[in-house]
This record gives sequence, C-alpha cells and structure tokens, in this order.
Amino acid sequence: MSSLFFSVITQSMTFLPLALGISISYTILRATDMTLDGSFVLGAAIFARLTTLGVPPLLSAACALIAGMLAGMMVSTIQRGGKVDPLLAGILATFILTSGNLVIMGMPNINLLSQTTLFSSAFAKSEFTGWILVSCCSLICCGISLFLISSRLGLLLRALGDNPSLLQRLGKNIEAYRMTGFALTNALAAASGCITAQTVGYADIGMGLGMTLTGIGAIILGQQLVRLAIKKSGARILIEFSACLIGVLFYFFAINCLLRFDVNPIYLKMILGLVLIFFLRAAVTRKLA
Amino acid sequence: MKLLTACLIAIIGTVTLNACKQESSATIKVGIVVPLQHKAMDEIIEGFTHTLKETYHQPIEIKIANAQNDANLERAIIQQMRDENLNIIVPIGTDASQMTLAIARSQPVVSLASDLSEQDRQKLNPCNVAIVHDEISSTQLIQFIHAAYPSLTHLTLIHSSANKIFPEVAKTITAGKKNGIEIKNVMITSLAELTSAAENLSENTQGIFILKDHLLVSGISTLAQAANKRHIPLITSDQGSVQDGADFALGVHEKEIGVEGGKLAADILNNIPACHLPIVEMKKLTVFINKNAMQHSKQNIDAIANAAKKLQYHVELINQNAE
Repeated sequence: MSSLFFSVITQSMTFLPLALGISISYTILRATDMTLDGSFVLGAAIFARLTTLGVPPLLSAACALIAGMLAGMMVSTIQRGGKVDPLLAGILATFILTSGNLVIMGMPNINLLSQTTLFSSAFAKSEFTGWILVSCCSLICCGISLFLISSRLGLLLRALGDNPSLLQRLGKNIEAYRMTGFALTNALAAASGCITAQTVGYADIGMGLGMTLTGIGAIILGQQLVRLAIKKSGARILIEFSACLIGVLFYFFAINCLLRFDVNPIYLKMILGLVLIFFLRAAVTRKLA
Repeated sequence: MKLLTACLIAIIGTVTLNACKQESSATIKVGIVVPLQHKAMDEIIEGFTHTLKETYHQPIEIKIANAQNDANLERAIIQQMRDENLNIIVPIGTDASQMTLAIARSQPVVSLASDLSEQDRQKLNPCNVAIVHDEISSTQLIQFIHAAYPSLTHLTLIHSSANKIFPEVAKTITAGKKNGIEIKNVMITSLAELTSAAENLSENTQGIFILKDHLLVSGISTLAQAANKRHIPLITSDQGSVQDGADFALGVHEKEIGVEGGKLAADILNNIPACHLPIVEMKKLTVFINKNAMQHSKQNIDAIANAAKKLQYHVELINQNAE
C-alpha cells in the first residue's frame, strides 16, 4: 500500500509544475496554451544537451528555465495584438519547437543515466532521499509561481485573462503582461521537463506528447473535486493550487490503482475519460439544481 | 461526496488485499513493458515468452503492459512492476529501457531492441541489465542492395526523427558512398508528411529505402504506391513492412529478438548476473521478398535471390497481407 502512495506522489511531483503552468494558463490567462507540450521537451532538451556537454547541472537547469520563458515569449509575440488565435499560436509555436528541440539535442534521444544531474547523488544515497530532493525542487518552482500569482502581478494577469480592455483602460501594456504570463507558464513546463528528464534517465523528442491534454484533464478533475469539498468562496489562489494538486494526485492515483487491479492499460484512458465526463455532468447538474 | 469517499475507501481496501495476495505468491514473475502496440512488438513478445517457458522449466507468470506511447503511463507501469518485485522487467525499445533502468535499480532488466551500448551499461550503478540489439549493420544492407542492383547509383532514404534512426542514417550514407551509391535522405516527423515526401522524390532516384523505422513502416502502403508508379524498388529492413507491401528487405525475424531475450532471461533466473551476459547482436539475416509487390513495381525477383545467394543470406518469399 505504501508503495502505491509512493508511486503516486513521485509521479505527481515531476508533473506538478507542468500542471500548475497549465492551470495558470487555463484559469488565470484564460488561454489553452498548447506550447506547453513543446516547452516541456525544451526544458528536458536544454538540460540534457548542456549536461552532456559538461555544463554544471544547476546552470543547465537555469538555462532550461530561461529557454522555457523564451518559448512563452515567442507564443506571446505570435499572438501579439490578437492577430493570431491563442490556440493556433500555441500549435504554431509547438511546430517551431519540434524542430528547435531536435536542433538543440542534435539527436532525438539523449541518455542521462550515467550523467551527473541535480539529483544523481541524492538518488545514489537512497531512492527516498532522491525523491525528497525532487519534491523540494518541484514545490519550490510551484511556490515561486504562487508567490508571483498572489502578488499585484498575479492580479493584473487575472485581469488580462478576464477583461483585457480593463487592463488597457488602467494604462497597462497588455502585451507585456501577456508575455510575462506565458513566460511564467512555459518556464513551469520547462522546469517539469527538466525534472522529468533527470528522473527517467533521458530526454526524448517525443516525451511531451499529450502532456497538456493530460494536465487539462487532471485540472478539471481537481476543480470538480475541490468544488465538491469547498463551498465557500475566497482564498482563490489556494483553492486553484489545491485543485491542481488534487487533480494531479487523483489522476496518478487512478492510473496506479487501475494498473494494480490488472486492468489492461489499453482501457485506462477510456475509463479516465468516462470518470471526467461523470464529474463534468455532476457539476452541471449541481449548478442547475 | 459520500459516494466518492466510499468509492475511495473501497479502492484502497481492494488494492491492499491485492498487494497482500501478490506478496504471498511464489511463482516467477516477469513483466514486459511494451511502449506501443505494433505487429513487430507482438512477435518479439511471442518469441520471448515461448523461449523463456521452454528454457526455464518452472512456473512463470508473464505480465504484458502496453503504455500506448504515453510517458506517464509507461512510468506508472514500470513503477508498479518494480513495487511488485517482479523477478525480471523486460522493456522493449530504447526509451522504455532507459526509463526502466532509472526507476528499477535493484531488479534485473532485459532490454530488447534497444541501442544501449556496453559503455552505457558499465556506467550504471548497479549494472543490472542484459541487452539484445536489433539493428543491422548499414554496411551489410548497402552491400546487399549493391549486389542486387549493381547499376543503382541514386537512392532515396526516407526516415523519421526516432532516436535510433539518426546514427543509422549517417552510417548508411557513408556505406552508400563506399559502394558508389549517392543516398539522399528525407526526414519526416509525422505520417501526415509521408505523402508529400513520397510524391516529391528526386527525378533521378532509382529506389526508395527505409531503415527499421516504426513510423515509416506504418505508412508503407503510401511508399509502395509511389514505388509502383515510378517502377522503382521499395527496399526495407524488416519482415513486417514486406508483408505490408514493400518489395524486399534484408532483416531479421522479429521473433528472434524475443528468442534471444528469452534465453538471457532464463540465464538470469539461473542466477547469472545480468551484467555478465554479453550483449546479443542479431546476426542471422534473412532476405524477405514480396512476390506480388515485386511484380507491381516491375522488379526482377531473380536478381534479389541471386544477390542473397551470393552473400549467403537465407531467402524467404512471403505473402502480402490482405489490403
């Protein structure tokens, strides 16, 4: 039983920064940023490439985050002035990143099993120590983002998502805030990719496939679960983060439970999809009632 | 909310009982991690399970899990296999092998069809992996094409961005130069790009060649149509693609990869450390010929058979799968 919870927590911790990035993009910026798939790989690619070139792991990780921010700024630039639809801009940026990641890596897969990474010495001591460090890094990334979101900057980003013209009337530069928002979400995705590459032992050009959709699914689940439990309004940021965390934990708990029930993995996504539909319908029924 | 809580409690209870039940079992348990459902994968699994059961005469339970090309799911599968203390974990492919080695550090691993090298293996601490390679020497492939088509000087190599393919493409181009064949490589990143690639082949190309490339194999019929239209051969490197419409291939029976893996697994169960087992290379090459496809693209079967005979490869005529 403890192994089940350990598996769920370890899988969730590497995914959490990406899920938070998706959550910020989805609930605060009100945009479905498909670039996050590409930024996830970008973080892993930059880290893996620099590490294999002998750059210290900490510096490689910092470069991965900066690259993620730049990817976010690129999407924002594509969208500039509302000339390109946000969803389309995300898809276009992902297209560009697919080639970009391949150029950065120089090959489609980089093996990190024998490389010194941020976590390799901790994992050498014990697996538990390794995962504690991974969790700390993941939570620090999320903590910094939550701090930013709970500040005045977060309030303005929320205004951008809800009503951009209001932000304009306040004399703020919409494009600068859009750029900041997307830089933040993509940096979180890159952080998640960077952490994932170190825990799974490789960076691969295809490792981001479907990550955004999985994240959106997990967040919707989390939101419904949190709404079931908390009726009061207020502490919005805490509730949003709780929804994200609970959604991710629930998603991995469901996957691991079903696998332990020996359910054929072919049916997993169908079952999770049905669970998601059940929650969404239940939410609509409650609203109508 | 009450219903949800009750469901969660029921799930946790059942999982606990399931875990207790699993711990009490004494049967040898082997887990196979399949990254993606594929005909070649099925053959590898069949070869592995059959050989292991034949070679190791004790009750064996083999668990096969398909990750459906989802990294999160793949990781959950591997972690579950590790937590269940399976006696051996058998990942198929390089990515799955790397992930397994990063997660399961104490269980023996038999890596099938991966490109992990001896150097990679020795750097692992602890070293817990036995490896079966599946790639065929580019030099052998090109030498065979040259023997079958001595006048061929321009060949188009279409490939995906898969991790295994990149170094093989470079080696193939070099091998081509040595045999007087100029190889033009065309990369595609998704199947959607294959039709454009097939319709825009160089005017002077005398053949289409693909390596053991899962993405390309999925779209082999598109390439077969292009080859038929221009009356040039479609040459591949695996049995499955010939069954699906390619003209001929120099390759191995996928099942053999599983057979070799099964032998390694049996050795590990007989207490030989995984790391002491040498890396297995596939050396028994076969020329697979699709008679119907050869006729459609107006190619000469005798030329292929003679080249195979000259280079001492076994020839196997195979029937095309129903379209």
